[in-house]
Amino acid sequence: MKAGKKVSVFFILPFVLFFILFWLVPFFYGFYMSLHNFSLINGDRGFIGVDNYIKILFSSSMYHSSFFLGLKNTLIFVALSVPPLVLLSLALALLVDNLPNKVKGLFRTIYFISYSVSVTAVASIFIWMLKGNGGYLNNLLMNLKITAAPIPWLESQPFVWISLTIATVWWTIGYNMMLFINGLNEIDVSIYEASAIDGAGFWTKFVSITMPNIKNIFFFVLMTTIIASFNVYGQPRLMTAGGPGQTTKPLIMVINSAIMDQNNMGIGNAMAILMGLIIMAVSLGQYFMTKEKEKIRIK
Amino acid sequence: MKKLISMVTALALIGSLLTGCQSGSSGQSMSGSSADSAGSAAGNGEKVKISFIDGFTGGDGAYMKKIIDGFNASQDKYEIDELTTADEYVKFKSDDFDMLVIHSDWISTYHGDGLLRELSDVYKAAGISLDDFHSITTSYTKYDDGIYAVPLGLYANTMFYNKKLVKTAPKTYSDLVSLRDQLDPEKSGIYPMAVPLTGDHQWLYMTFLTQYGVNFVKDGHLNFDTEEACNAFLALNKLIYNDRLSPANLGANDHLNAFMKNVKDKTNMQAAVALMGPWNYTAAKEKYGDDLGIAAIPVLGKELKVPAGGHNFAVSSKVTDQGKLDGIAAFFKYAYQPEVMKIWADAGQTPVHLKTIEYIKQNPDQYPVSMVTFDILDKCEILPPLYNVREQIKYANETVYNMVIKTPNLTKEQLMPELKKATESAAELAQQ
Amino acid sequence: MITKKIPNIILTIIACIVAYAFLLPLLFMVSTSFKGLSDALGSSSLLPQQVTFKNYVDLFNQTSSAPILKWAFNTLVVTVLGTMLRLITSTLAAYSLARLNVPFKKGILIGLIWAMAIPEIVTYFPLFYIFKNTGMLNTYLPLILPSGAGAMTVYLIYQFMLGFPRELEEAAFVDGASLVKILLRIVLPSVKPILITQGFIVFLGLYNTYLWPSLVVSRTEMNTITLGIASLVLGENYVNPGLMMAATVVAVIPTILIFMFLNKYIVRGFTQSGIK
Repeated sequence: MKAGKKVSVFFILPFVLFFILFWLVPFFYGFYMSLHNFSLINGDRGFIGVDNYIKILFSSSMYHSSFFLGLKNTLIFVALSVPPLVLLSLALALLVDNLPNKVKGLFRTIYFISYSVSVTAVASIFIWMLKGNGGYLNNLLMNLKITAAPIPWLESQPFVWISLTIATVWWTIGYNMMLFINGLNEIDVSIYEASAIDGAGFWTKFVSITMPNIKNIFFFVLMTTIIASFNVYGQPRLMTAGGPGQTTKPLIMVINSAIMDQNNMGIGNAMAILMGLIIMAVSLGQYFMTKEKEKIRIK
Repeated sequence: MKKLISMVTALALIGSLLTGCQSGSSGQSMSGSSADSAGSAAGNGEKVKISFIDGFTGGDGAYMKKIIDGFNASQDKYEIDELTTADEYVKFKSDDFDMLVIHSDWISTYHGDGLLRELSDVYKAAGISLDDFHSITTSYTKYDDGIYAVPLGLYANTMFYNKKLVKTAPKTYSDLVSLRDQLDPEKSGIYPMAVPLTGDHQWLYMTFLTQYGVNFVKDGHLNFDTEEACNAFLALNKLIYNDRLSPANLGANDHLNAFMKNVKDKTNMQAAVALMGPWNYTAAKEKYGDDLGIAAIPVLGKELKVPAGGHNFAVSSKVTDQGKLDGIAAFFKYAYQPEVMKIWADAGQTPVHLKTIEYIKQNPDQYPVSMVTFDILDKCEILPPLYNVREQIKYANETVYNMVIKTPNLTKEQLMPELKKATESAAELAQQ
Repeated sequence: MITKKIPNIILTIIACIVAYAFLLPLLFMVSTSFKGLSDALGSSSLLPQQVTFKNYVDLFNQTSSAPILKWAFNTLVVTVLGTMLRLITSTLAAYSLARLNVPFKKGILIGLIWAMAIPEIVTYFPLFYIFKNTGMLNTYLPLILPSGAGAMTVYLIYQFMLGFPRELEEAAFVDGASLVKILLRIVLPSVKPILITQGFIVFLGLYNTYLWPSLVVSRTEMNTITLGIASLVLGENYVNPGLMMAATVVAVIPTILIFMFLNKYIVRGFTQSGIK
């Protein structure tokens, strides 16, 4: 098609402008800050090279320990939340897929509905359900004589991690389930029917037919879930305030605190860039795992 | 940068056209933060708006609002726009507010950062002076280059007790122990007190540190890396795990929650006494009425010391508009009348304005919390005015405290490394 | 349809049990909002012993500290305009890339892929600082404008367009139809599925985002619902679970209703999305 160059530029211009102003400029500005002694209150106080990075990565500074504490906590959360978010969502999708057609839509909606609740509302609901002294769940468990003493769901480890995981799974699992249901729908029914005649069991069919057909979706869900869990902030911020004793303070809370509490834009942005690099490394992993199928198309 | 700013502004204009219906309210808040337009607005017969931020999210919030509303209704030239938020200090830094409520231990830091305006002229215009306030306030409002805050009140760690369960107010640690024997927590689920996971917890361990006479300041930073400090923390651990004066593993704000609760079927734990901030007075009073007892905190260490803090008004260094400054002075003139300032005592706080103190002392029955605080003013221990002290203390608040209340039979060997870390982190934060 | 061996009835029973687990927090939220203080704190039954509307009355009486309807309005403005902005800029850009031989096409595409790989947290704080220094905090602008720069959306629409034959557009072009006409009559209908899905994902993203608005909004009246609830959770005066849950109900119910109403379109969007 021979549309003029001007027209094509005119079409892409709005996006490019927004992209430069709200992505490119802050990106480079953040990098610039990370190389400076930059205060939220007093602004730029001079170029210091990679000192901020060295301080975070290799010194005995409190920023060093808080960064690695945040990283450790974030990795724990990723390790705890990703398996249920991926595997249980697949199980849910299989369940919905095998339900009678009449009730399929109903259950699909029910399992997906919690995704429309905002993270802050999720936190406020789970705080009052799980509260150690006087929360609903403990009252229930103790009245049913399942436990003798209240369980410190939001007060002591490892229960706090369990609570954060449960709240997160409840909140976001429906989204992954929808992606899996979509994938399952695209598998040709006749393949299953053929194998049913051969007498293949559930597991055989799952491994030999279902999994290969939804492999790409599986990796997509896995990677987006890992990245989303890496960016965890709202649940610990509101449900535990990073406690008890900073054990659930994720990296983003550490960065937020370095900037908003300690006024240190330089250190905070350096931390954010380091976190970005870690997430990019994870994304790269996805690229290599699925590279045979998914070629980035640049024509 | 300049080019960028003008580009962003241009886009903002496009944006506000694009978003037509909202430009009204956004335009309003934008001009609200700019001094010039507010000044000229006064000339047009519109009110001068003064933005004001505070952190009174507890029961005291309603009383500050009463004072502000009273001022707004008392005249038609100025209007104070109050925002109450838990993130007060973050919001003050990230946004433009004209006036804020600042804690006594935080003034020196904000003064050092150049965030506050010198107030001698405002004092004069309002017809007040530092002599109008209790002398304890000069230690944190006055600096070499002037006065940077107007004292509002003090608040001290206070003991509230349930008269149905406690006959006479406990005065010492051993009183609490005998109270435990009398309540029999194992059977009844009622404990003498409740040690919370968070919420007034800094005061709780500070009570032990100050009452054991620990010196926790060195070279301009907090220093917990001493044997005395360690022993004081261990005494708090002993309160829970040896002497069972409180249940273990409680949650956020459970010192208040457990105090406000009635045990029915042992699924919950109740506390007969609460050591807490006076801002919980209204809630406790509503619940217990005449059965609410109020007294100075007991001696948990060697001698009576009471962790305390103070609230003050301060003005942002960005405020240059004379109209706003006149409005702020008018507010102080209004607020520092005993009939108005007494509202702050209604909240359970203790005003430090001398005339208001006199006024309150004439009606002791109405102001039980203030009366208790007046008695212990010379025992008050406010956090020292070190740079960044509220950041310095965070490691102790979060990690050290959690270890102390969570570890059964904590030992010195376990605790000392954390106290060392708390001290190192404090030393680093003191330097920025 | 992986198996026929397990009877439908058993599957349905399992589905019901799972559904109960999903609905329990929402039931808890609704029923607690009708409980009195001591009932909410001490009881272990889900249903209130005595239904009270006091929490709702209290909630709407303190509109100065929690103007929930204003928050809902703000949320509507931000999510709708943000989503529209994203879809408009992205569709135009994707069309330009896929069909119009825009200059530096390769460079732009590589830039998009890089931008997609870099997480948002890297740009949040500098962007916040820029908005702060241009006096735009506490307006709708920082909540809406960054939506215009969605590299991922451009890339996905671009890929979707590549999968479509261009003959139809070319024929129309030869017939002398204007570009705008082609865009509206031919291109838009064919990319509609991905626009619906992407629109929904962007909409939910804007609705749910918490960190970014918490940086750029500090005034109560500019809060979104997500932020407003956060301010209630963090505020110390909410020692009353009933009141807290009443606020949550008011904030959550409208979105759940919208969600159920649009359910059909959302599901269709998922099944027609470019994610395969």
